[in-house]
Amino acid sequence: MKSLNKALTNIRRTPYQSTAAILVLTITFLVATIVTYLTVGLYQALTYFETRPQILVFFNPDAKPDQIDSLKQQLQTDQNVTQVTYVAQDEALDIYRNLNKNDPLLLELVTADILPASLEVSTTNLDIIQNVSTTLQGAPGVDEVVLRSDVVDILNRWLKGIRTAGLAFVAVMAITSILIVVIVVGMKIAGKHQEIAILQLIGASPWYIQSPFLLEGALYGLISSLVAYTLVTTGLLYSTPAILNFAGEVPLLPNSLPVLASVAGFSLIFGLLIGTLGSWIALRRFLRS
Amino acid sequence: MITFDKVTKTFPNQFTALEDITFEIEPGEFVFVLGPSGSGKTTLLRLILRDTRPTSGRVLVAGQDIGLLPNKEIPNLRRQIGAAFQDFKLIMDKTAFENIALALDILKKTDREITSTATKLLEKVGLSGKEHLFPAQLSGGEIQRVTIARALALDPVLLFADEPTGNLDNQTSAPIINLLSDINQAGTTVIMATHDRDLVNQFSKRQLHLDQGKLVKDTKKKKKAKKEDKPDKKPDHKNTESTAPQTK
Repeated sequence: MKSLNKALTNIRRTPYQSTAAILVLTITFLVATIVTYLTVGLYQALTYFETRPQILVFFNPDAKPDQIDSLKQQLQTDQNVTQVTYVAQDEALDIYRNLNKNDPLLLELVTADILPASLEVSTTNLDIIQNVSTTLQGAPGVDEVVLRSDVVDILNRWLKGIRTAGLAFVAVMAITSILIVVIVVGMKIAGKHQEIAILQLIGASPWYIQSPFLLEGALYGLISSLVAYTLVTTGLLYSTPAILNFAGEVPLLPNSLPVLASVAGFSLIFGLLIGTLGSWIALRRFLRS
Repeated sequence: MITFDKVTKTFPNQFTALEDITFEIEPGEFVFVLGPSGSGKTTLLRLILRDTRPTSGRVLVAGQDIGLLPNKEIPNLRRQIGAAFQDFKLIMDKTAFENIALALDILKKTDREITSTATKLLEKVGLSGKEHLFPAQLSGGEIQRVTIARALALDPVLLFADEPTGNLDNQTSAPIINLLSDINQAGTTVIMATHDRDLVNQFSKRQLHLDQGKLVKDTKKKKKAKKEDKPDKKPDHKNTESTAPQTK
């Protein structure tokens, strides 16, 4: 507790250095938190698309029920197919109405007759989608086969890109932040070198001397990560309606309580690590000299 | 309490501060280490505090060779030795009270204990009422008293005062030595380094004379030698004593 008080006093007595350190660290954690939310959101969207039917088979309006049944049974016997769902024209109309319930004009123009019946097919893995779709293309009564693997591919590429670029950027920012903490805490250690020498001579333990500096760095990290998390999460919650409107039924928004709590925990631990590591390096560097 | 066994200290610039020093200080003794500037008095203190290691020989504190002490044990050693440094080594932006409190804080005393003990120590060294003054606001004698009070805060078994009267006039020096004598009377071993021969001669205490890093005189050895000489003379002395009543 006394060490914490000393750390707080150190921060208070050098307001410019402390503010500079906190601001630089806050930028790092802002980027880290945004990348985390983006990754989680995209991962949720990817999972959503992966668990949706990956192949949609639309039938001609004049396709006979036995042709549809035959194709359905054929698919159900295929080991690579996990689920086959028949969507009749009336059901398709219901789905359409539900999706466009806020647009009466679109609802007025569409009837069940112009919507085709379809089969929604889920497969065991994305690699065999192409083979299954080729088989379906030539089947009697089939008008069009639509694959959702394209969406999954695009999402996968985005996810990998954001993850790689984000991690690289966060790594560079983290190194910068650590160096800033090393410089700020190092300057304070250098400013107190006489006091430290006296403390050593009168029997202070290394922990007694070092703990206020370690805590100071940890506090920089904690304060910065807390500020960054609060800013980004507030922004996310504020823009929730806009994101929901954009994403539709895709669960792009990472705003569930477990996700928010996990990101908070991750941010604070990351902050604590960056700050403490910076202080530790400063202590090793300056106390040795 | 303290044993120097053939201790030599040569610094990296080849300056030999102490050469082949051997002496022993018993618990409860008051010893003056006398010598001019540069004779090795401060090096003696630094060796006792394990602030530096001997080039050869051994320094024993309470029977333990402190040259072999692992680094993590050094703070424990220093908490047993109160040191009043020649250059004071007070923290200038802390008050007299805070400087003393720091030593107590190192010992993990509670805030209440720190306040109580620091107040008593300030009273003991005659600085009541000046606890909130910074070192820059105190006189030389008062600063020296703060350093002694801080050393005493550790409740040490040994107090080493390095030139505590070095910058003081005779009038201010006497109370400092009286204070150290009182501390010694209470059971603490006291070593006081000084260059002031006249001051030392006012007190009948053991003296270790250093000159250019060599121990040139130890008054205890002299006394011992005299005592050792006595048995030869004793029979004669006894005889004279024994014959005295007869003559009566």
